[in-house]
Amino acid sequence: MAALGAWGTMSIAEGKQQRRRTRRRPRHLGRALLLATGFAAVGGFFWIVSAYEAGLRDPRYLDGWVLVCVMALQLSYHVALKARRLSPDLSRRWRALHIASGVLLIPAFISHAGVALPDAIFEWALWGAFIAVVLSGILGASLPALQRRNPAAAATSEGLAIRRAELARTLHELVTETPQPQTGLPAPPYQSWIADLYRLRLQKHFGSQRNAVLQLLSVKRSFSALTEEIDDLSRYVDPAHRRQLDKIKLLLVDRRRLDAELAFLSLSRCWQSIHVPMSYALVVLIVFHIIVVYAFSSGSW
Amino acid sequence: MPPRDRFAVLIALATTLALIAMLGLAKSQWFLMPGPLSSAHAGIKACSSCHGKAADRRLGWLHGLIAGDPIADSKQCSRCHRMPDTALDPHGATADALKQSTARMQKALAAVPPPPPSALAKLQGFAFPTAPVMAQSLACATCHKEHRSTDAKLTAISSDQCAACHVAKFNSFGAAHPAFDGYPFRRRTRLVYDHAAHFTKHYPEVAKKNPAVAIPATCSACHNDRNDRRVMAVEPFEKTCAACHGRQISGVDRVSGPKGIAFLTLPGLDVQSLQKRNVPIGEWPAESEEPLTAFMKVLIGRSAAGRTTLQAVDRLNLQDLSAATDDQLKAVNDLAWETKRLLFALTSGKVSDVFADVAKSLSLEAGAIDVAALTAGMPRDVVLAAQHRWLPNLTAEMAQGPGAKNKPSASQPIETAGPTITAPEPDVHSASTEAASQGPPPQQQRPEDDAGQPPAAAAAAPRKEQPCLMRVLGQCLVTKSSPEPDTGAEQKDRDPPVAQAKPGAVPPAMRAGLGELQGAGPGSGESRDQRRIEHPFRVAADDTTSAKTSESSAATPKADKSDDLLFPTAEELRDMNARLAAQGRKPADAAPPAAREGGSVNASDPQAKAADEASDEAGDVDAETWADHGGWYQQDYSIFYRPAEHDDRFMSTWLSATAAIPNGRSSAARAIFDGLTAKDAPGACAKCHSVDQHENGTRTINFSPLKAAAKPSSLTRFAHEPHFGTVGDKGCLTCHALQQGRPYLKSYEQGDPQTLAPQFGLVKKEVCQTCHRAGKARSDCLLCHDYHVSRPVSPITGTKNATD
Repeated sequence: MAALGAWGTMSIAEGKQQRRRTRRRPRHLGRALLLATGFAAVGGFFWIVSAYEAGLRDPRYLDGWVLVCVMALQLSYHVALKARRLSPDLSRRWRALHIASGVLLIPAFISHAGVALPDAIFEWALWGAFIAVVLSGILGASLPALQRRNPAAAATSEGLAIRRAELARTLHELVTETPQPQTGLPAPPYQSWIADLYRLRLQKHFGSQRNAVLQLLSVKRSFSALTEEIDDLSRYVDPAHRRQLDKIKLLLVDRRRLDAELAFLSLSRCWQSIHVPMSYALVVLIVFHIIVVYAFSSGSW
Repeated sequence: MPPRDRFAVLIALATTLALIAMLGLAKSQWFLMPGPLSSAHAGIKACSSCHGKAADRRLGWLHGLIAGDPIADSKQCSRCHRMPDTALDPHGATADALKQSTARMQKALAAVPPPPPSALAKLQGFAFPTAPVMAQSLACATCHKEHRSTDAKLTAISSDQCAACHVAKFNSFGAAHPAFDGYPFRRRTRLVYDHAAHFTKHYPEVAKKNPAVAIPATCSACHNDRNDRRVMAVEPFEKTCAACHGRQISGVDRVSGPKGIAFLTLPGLDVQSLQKRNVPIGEWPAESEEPLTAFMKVLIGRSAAGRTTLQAVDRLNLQDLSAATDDQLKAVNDLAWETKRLLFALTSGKVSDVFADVAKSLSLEAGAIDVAALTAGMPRDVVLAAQHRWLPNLTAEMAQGPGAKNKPSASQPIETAGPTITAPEPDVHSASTEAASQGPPPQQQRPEDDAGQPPAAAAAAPRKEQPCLMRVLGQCLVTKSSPEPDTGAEQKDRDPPVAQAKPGAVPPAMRAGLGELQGAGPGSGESRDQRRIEHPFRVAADDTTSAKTSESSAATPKADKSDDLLFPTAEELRDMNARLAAQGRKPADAAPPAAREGGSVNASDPQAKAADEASDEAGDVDAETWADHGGWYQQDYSIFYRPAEHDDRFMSTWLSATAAIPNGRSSAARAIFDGLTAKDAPGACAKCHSVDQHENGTRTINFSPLKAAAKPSSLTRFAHEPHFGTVGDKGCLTCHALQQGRPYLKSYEQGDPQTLAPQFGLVKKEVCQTCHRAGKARSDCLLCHDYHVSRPVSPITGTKNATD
């Protein structure tokens, strides 16, 4: 039985690991396939452009129109979002397509403009607008990945504010509550120590917005300092107050997650205020660019 | 609308407004440029200079959106770059040329099929065929893309682009380039040079005979590409061939045959038959046996009448007219008078007028013929002297016109045995010279002649100017106002005014050659120089004439009619003979050369005979030898031109001019070309310069070796110089192996330059591929090939002269 038990125990543990592996493998395989498809698409694009150029045509017309078409697809996602006609599932899929095609725009742009900085005023305007849209897009696309590293993230800024207030109130109640002494002997002023900690450090920490950039970068310097201080204090207090400090520590962890989530929320608002307006400006510049190109066109395309 | 969306719309509006503001406020359209122009075009300021549809106004560039001429921009290119009409066709070649090229390529591929095209070529052929692009004119911008950068190479095109249109699709020389088709010999060499014979026979012989002659030790002694990297040029004649062949041009080493070219001749006629048949050809030396040369035919044929005459006598034996019909005799008569007219025109008028007519009759383009080169600076004196010797009464005859009978006079000679053929008069040359510039000779102005002077003579009457006593080459040297010596009224009446010129009145520099031009002076009391000036040219048709001439001149002392230098006295002649005898030579013959040549010299005048002899053979050289440095000389009844150096303008101009005469036009001109290019022709031009025959019958004599400028239509280029470092010890033979035993010289016996038997082996592509392959030297198409058959030229300035 022991052997069976041991076998049974091992098989359960191994089964869990096996299930974890089988769940991870398709995900990795899918990502690899996606990456390979992306590279193949980029390689194929450059190959087609080469064939186009070999056919005595100006390749800038081909990759230029590819850029226009893909940008039109990107723009249609924005229009659909504004029209609020997308189901959540469709929105999620379209967003993925928006990001994937956005990534493909980068090689198309390199093919069109070459690997060089522009050297004319209007070209600088086009180039700057495109780079701004692309960089803001990359930022926007990478936010969910950052958020996945902070699973407790809240949805809205209002909810985050309520939760932050709740945490501050809970901390205040926890600090003001006095645990019952276990012996009749006069005890050291544990409560005063905790109150001092609250008054000098924790109240300020819970009462204000933390540094968003540090939060986004997962810098734990302030958090670690507070937890170490709590841990130091825990060694000198009785068990009742130690449990109190443990609760305070948990609140501190919650607060840190809340700060991170708030930072992500601010960042998401910020990138959209760059990405969308610059996209609008880019559309105007592209239309003008097409008019100029065809007005001065020469040769075959 | 959420604030974020409102901000986005605001940004879009701001961008639009900014663009409108730039369009409205900008003074030029430079902000629209997609990039800087290349260095070659950086000086262009206005967009409309290149973009044909764009106007210079603020929004004028929008005109480009309107459909218009698709090659408007390319036409703008041709404003600066001179291009042929076919420049916008593929390769700038005609459709026929491309078809031929394609057929040649397919033939080459049939032998060795190329590997299948690359995937890129397949995709391009399937998805982006070039046929639609080629259907219309290929705009310059198809390949030459501007606005890339200042250092962009406008002529860069890829090998894949070349392969897009070609039958054989390969993108590098190392991959599947077809074998060379007869490279590098598209035609036989322009210069005929037998390398094998020189290497194996001539050089060793010369080295043995004359070690001082430098034999070329290396190929680079004669070939280099320093001046033009596209061809391995041949060094000039003077550096290469002259040491051995220079004397062949002047004919110094020629053993037999004339060393000069008979240019003007007095053709020999059967005078006896003409006399019998009463043909009024006037004065004509019976002794001439000269043929009617091709040059004479061209000169006589400069007029329609001349051409008709030449046609009539074309197959006639001019030296035997015994069986000739009346029509043929009339034609001969016309020929004689045409010849006289020609001589008269050359002596009395401008040479350029005569040769302008020649150019016109040969339908040569204006400016294509260089009269100065055609005549090679032929001195008037030579023609005058010849005319005086051959036809001394020419001026009088021309004044009287054809058919007129000469009347005898005291000073004029006497009719010959025939009723119409007159003997040349010995003393009329001064008169004819005078007539050439002034009109009839003095003796014809005498009272007894006036009555018989025809209207033609009046037409040729002198201009009424201040009387000129002595006129040379049309220039009056002594006028009547000059002080004159008192020589007596009788003498003054009998002698022409020129005879009264004061000794020393003519500047010394102008005395040279005057002996042949001026009439004899009184003789007594005149200096030797003066007498030389007045030397008469004595010629007579026969002994009878000579005798009569002698009689007629009896009234005048002989010394009056001779020149002491050219016609030595008996004492001088004895001295001359003594010197010749001392040298072991034959003493000077008493009979003058003219007499030897046909007895036209007055045989009854020994001093004149001796003088003629002395003048012809003075210094023991005849006229031909005297002209061994080239130039004109008269011998017998011909005026010869003797080429003496390479690149003789007379030879090259006549050859070039007559080569352009197609079949069926001016057989005489073609005969000139044939004569000058004959194997034994003086100058020996065709010994080295090959002759190409064209389909239309015209010919080209290749005076110049291959030059890059001569092959503008070549699609292939090769620079020798970069390869010199790679050929090692074998040197030029690495690629050009000498092959002996080829019928190289035989290939020049026909006119087609494409029929060839090169002495050097063909270059094989494998030799090139030892270096030009992947991973080593470049092997793209543009390394060896040009796209444009006729390369557009770089712009030149159209600077106008600053004028008021």
